[in-house]
Amino acid sequence: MNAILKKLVQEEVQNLISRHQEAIHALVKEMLVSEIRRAIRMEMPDLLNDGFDARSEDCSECWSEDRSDVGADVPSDSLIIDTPPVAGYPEASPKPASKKDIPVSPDNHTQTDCRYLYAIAGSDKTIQLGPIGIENASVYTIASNGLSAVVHACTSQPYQSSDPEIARGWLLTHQRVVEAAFEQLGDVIPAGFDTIINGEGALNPDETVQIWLNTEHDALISKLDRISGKQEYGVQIFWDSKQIAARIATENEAIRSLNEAIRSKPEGAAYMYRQKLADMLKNEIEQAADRHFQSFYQIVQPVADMLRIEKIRHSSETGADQMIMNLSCLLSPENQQRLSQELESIDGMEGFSVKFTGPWPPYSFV
Amino acid sequence: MAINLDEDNLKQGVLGLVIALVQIIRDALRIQAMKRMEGGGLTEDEIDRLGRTLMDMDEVIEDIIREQGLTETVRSVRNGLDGLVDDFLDQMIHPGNVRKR
Repeated sequence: MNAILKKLVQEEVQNLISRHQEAIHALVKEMLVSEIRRAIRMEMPDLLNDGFDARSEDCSECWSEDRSDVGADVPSDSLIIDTPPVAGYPEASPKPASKKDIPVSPDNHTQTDCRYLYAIAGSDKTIQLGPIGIENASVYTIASNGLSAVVHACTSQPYQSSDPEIARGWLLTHQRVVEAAFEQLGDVIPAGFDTIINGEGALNPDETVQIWLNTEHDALISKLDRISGKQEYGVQIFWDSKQIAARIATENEAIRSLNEAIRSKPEGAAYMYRQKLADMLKNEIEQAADRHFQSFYQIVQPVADMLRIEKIRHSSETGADQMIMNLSCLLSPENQQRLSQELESIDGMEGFSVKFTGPWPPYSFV
Repeated sequence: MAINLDEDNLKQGVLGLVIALVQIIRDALRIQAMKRMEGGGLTEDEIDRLGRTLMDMDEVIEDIIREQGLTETVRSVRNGLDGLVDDFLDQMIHPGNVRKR
């Protein structure tokens, strides 16, 4: 039986391969390319700082979006507020710059009449943050009416690169500048990567930014109010799924008795019932994960000023603890204290661990 | 993005793909078998026979994977497919936040 089956399968496989060789070649190529792309996307966050990964992933998406939207020859007048990621600035267009065909070359930074926006701060201090920007650009603030924009002077050419290493470096720099602004200026609304305010043709591009700050003043202030005095934290809860499975296997009556019964079954039947056992166990584990999610959520929710459920990321390492919950929380200092105590008690539970990261600028809540 | 594919690489890739597909068919068969068993329409004897057949199939697949050194390739194909299905389901369930690719 075994030998015949083996031969049959082998023959079938060989036939398949020879019959569809070309299609298979094409398929494999196609799959490999997308695999590699995916791998890079998946790996990028891991290479970045912990706790930042979700956001940088988002930014990398923006980055690739930009790349498809904005071709190589960017019309120099097309970029007012260039990217969508700053939520809620849809009508953020200071009067369009005049349509001159100024040739823009990426290496030539003479036309620095645009401003790359890192964040909006709720303070109108005018300060220099030094050459900490993308490609060592000098970062400074433009203040107006109780608000300031954290920017560097740039061309209208968006930052884009087909080299993921370079793009990753830019993203990191962007995040560091936002953090620096957050440390020195207090509450900030972080801007998405590649947000460029177009001041082309204007005599003083800084003024264009000020005008924009004034037009958007009320909307920006109300956003800042919402996050004022609060900081973002990441809460990730993991469990050791092997340990949980072992516990369920001994505690669940149905699973234990089936496990007993299998011992006396003939080989083939035992195989089938083992499958059934595995299914039951998997089901129980999922239910347990759900129950824990609910109960942890009940704990976190009352002490968070704002809460967002993020996608669970699966670790590529096998045997690593499995994430069952991923939250972004906006917290006032006193709530931060309370939450961290609650989380400590969860962390103390057998088989569970908690990662509490932050404070971050409130990326997830603006 | 250019990839280097040499002769050996290609063979591995094709075999890996085929084996991954065979595994998926095997899984589908197994699920069907489980359903019939749960439905109660099978005698213990039939369950045993079904189990043995599936076991044999497992063994053959494992043999091929081992002989050809395909563990990694098969795993990556299946992870890729899982990711694809994940994304797809995610978009079905949360049509609001479909992301541009």
